[in-house]
Amino acid sequence: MFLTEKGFRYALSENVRVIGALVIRSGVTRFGESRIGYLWTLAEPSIYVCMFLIMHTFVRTSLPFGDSAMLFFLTGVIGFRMTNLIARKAANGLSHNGPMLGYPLVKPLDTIVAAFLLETIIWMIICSLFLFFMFAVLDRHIIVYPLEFAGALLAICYFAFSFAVFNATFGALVPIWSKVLGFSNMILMLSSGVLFVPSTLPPTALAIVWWNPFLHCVEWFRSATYLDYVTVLSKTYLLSAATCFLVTGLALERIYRNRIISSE
Amino acid sequence: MKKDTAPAAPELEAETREQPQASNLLDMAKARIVRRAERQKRRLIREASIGASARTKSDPFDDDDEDLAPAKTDRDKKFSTKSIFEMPVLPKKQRKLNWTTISFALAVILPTIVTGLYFAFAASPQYEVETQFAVRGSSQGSLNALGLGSLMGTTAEAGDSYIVADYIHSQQVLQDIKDQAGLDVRSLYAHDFIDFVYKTDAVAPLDEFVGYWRDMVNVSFNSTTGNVTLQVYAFKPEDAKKITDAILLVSENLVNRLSEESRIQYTEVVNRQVERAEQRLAAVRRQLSDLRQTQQALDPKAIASMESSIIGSIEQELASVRTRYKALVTAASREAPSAKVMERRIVALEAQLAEQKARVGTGSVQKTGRNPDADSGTLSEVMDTFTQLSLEEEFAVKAYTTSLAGLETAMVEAQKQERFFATYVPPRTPEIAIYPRRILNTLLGFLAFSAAWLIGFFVYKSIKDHAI
Repeated sequence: MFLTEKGFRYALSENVRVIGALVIRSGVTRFGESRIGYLWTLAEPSIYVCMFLIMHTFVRTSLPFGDSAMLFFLTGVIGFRMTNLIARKAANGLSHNGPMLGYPLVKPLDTIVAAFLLETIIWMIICSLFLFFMFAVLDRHIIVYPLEFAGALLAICYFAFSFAVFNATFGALVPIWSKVLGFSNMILMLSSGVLFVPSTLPPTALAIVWWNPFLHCVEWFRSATYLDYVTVLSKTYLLSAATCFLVTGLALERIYRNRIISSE
Repeated sequence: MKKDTAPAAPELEAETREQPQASNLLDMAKARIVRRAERQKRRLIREASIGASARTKSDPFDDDDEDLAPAKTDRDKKFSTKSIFEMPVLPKKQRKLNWTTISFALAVILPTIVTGLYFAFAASPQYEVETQFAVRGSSQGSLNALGLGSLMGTTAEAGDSYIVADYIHSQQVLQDIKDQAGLDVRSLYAHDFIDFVYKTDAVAPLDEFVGYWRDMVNVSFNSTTGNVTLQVYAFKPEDAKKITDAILLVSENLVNRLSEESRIQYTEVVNRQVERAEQRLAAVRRQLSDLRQTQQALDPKAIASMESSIIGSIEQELASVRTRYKALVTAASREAPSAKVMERRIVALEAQLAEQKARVGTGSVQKTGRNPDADSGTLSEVMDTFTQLSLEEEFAVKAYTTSLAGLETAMVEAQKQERFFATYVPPRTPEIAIYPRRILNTLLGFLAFSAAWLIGFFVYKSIKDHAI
């Protein structure tokens, strides 16, 4: 027991070292041998947007909001997929780095943090590429509230991390949880306002959809890219939901650490 | 912490400073042996200097199963009940426990108490006035009523309600309240009894005040029902009522103005068209009446039929006179006086017939009417002009009736565009202050501080776990 009595600074430096190593390891092994996988991450949101655009051209309904269908769908798709994929990949970090948990220095939380950092870096690159692309194609200001936009990105990261911690720990304890999440993925996407403006929903529908935290992520993201977007965004709800997930996840990790490690 | 364990503390710190060099197990073991020897040496020196009477306690770091030899000597020399009792009082452990408690007290208990004190004593009561109104038109989209507005786009009424909702949160509403209701809202939020968190400056610039205003006035628009809910918070019941009334007043003015403008715009184009048709019809009518003036007849057709009947009767008479003349010539001589009379009559009738025909036909013969100077042509020419003009009149009348019908439709349409500002839950002076929710807010504060502290604690712990 007394062997653990080392300085906090030493522990911090060790922690940073471990996480750094894990980030590099996950980054190298993320797509196996072929580096073409990185292109796929970029192509995936584009395919989604193209799909929506084609659907939109065929159905010929009026635009949900604004004057550019591409901007509307792209902000929705990026806002949702950024949140969802960072959360999912970061939660998977625990199972992907399962063998690493054999080292006593590597804790379950480190793997989640490392995967989260890697995904965040990747998504920031994707996001800026798409924003630049839109700026070049649409020839207009995409980010109208820079501070709001930075806040939206930070909130998305915070929520994604909290959700990942909760999912990873809870999923390791209750294996069916990850399946439930997988099934609910489509529902979450449809109800998060990628294809419509939530504030135009009937109040009864909105009352249900409103509890979806992803909706708030998308709304926050959009409210920074449109000048006069009418949102149903509640920052308090999103942040407190994220905090609840984070506290629960961290507590579960601390209490059931041995079970989590052995289950991997 | 350093009460009776003062000698041990510096040693501990010395150790922790040495630790970072040890990176693998072999090095760590080596380092530990070296350290243990060092410690042993120091303790022996210390014991020798302090003497047997000095209070010695076993070093916690010797409580190690590998550390057999020093422990044996220690036990041989200093084994006593005192040392056993002192063993559990490990300095580091006590400090760790304390740090947890202290940080908890600092990060959770203290802020919660401060929050609780603020809400219990300092926070001013806030009175809430709620009112609901709707901007309604006479036509309601059926799709919108079904809640499909989100899929099909929104209607104009929704647009107007959005305008009102946005307007209430804008800077303009403050200016308008000041101008139209004669109420400076800022002064109502700058009373002296308001607590320091909520008190504002009575002369704060509107640009800054609008942020505060948005906090104190909630407005939410329901796009399906088209209803707007407005909540106003103030620190005096009358103030809240006053502000709500002022907001409703300026909002109604806004809606009326918008409605009027939209109605005017709607009917303006049609009105102009009606005016044009009217002018055209009037011009044609004037030409027609001019023609009648010059021809001195109400209807050229009647003149024509009169002329033709005259021609007919002349021809008839001519024919009968000729018949009688022929009979007379065969019966009597051509030179008979009656035959001469008849001959003259025939000539006169023929001349009259030629004149009459000339009036209808070519324009070479002057009209021998009641007013020969005013003549403008033969009867057929007059008829031509008349037909043309009456055709034009017909078109003009048709255009005029069409534009009148258009105006009628536009009026109806404009009536449909008319917006009513309908307040169905009028503001009511509140009796008690519901806000702030003192206990709930304190509890929420406690939860938030606990969450923050827990996250910090877990993160610290998790980092600490790497110190192996």
